[in-house]
Amino acid sequence: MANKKIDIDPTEAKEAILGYCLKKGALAAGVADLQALERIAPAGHRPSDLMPRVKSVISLGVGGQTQGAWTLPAKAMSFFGSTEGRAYTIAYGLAFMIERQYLQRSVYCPPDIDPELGSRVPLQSLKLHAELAGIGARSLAGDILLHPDFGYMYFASVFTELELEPDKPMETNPCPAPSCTDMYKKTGQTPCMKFCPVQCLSGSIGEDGKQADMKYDMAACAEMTQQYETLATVMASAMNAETADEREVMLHRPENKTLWYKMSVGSGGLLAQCFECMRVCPIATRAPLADPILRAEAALGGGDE
Amino acid sequence: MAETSFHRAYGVTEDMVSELGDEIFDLSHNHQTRIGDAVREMNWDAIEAGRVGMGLTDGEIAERLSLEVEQVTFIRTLVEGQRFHTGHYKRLYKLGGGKRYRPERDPDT
Repeated sequence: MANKKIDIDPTEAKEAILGYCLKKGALAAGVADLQALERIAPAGHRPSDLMPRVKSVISLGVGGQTQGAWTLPAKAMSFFGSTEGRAYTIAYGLAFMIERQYLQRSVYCPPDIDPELGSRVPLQSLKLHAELAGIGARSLAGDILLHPDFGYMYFASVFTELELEPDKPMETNPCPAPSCTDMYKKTGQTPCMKFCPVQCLSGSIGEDGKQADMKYDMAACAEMTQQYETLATVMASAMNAETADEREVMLHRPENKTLWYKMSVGSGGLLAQCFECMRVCPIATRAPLADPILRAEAALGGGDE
Repeated sequence: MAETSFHRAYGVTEDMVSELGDEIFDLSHNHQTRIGDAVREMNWDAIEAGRVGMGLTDGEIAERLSLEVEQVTFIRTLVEGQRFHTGHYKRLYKLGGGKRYRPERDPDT
């Protein structure tokens, strides 16, 4: 705890904090309702499990890749499609900013897995933070959060002992888009469901045009998005190979050599490298401010003029 | 898979993996079903009712199956590894640039 006390206006502090996020490049930022987070997140994954005296959880989102990125082959996107690093950088800086400016303990929330639980359980759900902070709503695409203006974002969180007024979740959910509902009525699938390479998505849309249910085979999705899980299997297969030649081929075949490359360069492409559900999502790709071109056009006062 | 020293360290037998592996996998968040939009709507009854569908933690599964949490974690992660198909990833190499995945064109499905 800080030895010196300063007067803090919580409203002004919140404005300054969210303003910092936007100034540093976030498209959206908000404060999640801590009590709701503590109630919804399961034991072991609540904010207070990481930071016992946490008073506020700040969530921020940065935009995805450029418009041009969506035109590239999936194998190219796999290396650079994610932009989460920018979100983490802003959150890291924000924690320092809050401590320096308000003398309240703050921490960048690690977005990583819980090391006691294998490779599929995160320490915290950044998705839940962002949803409760009102900067994203769950989609039919495996609950990836979408925003009506910014489409598909990457999120980061900061925990702080500074008390801030929480925001509310978004009033409406942009998913499904009208064109997706039309397609669902005709085929029983939305684009994200239809074009998933491992068919990990299913669900239904109600008569009211809202999501009725969302089914997500996360294990199948992991085969495309968590390539680091491949490493253990490849190594085990190589060690169990019947001959030295088999072992050599196993380790040197083209797709496995890629793994060694990705590891040696520390490539983010070892995780979250499949974008096929978002590539066909009209909200992710065509929301009014979804990419730098659209945002620039909006700033110039409309694209077609 | 035969029983290993790791199985013994967690008090897990191969029979336990065979009998409970699928159930633990299905109860975990490897398979998620969400009804409606409960969290966004802050509908507490629906949030509580939807917990099982969204996947249970290892602790919650352990309580349900009268196991130790570490046993559930060990079995779950073992099954996750066994079910992981390394061969599906190459499907991505043929996609993008105007090409979309079509199950009917995939010889593996």
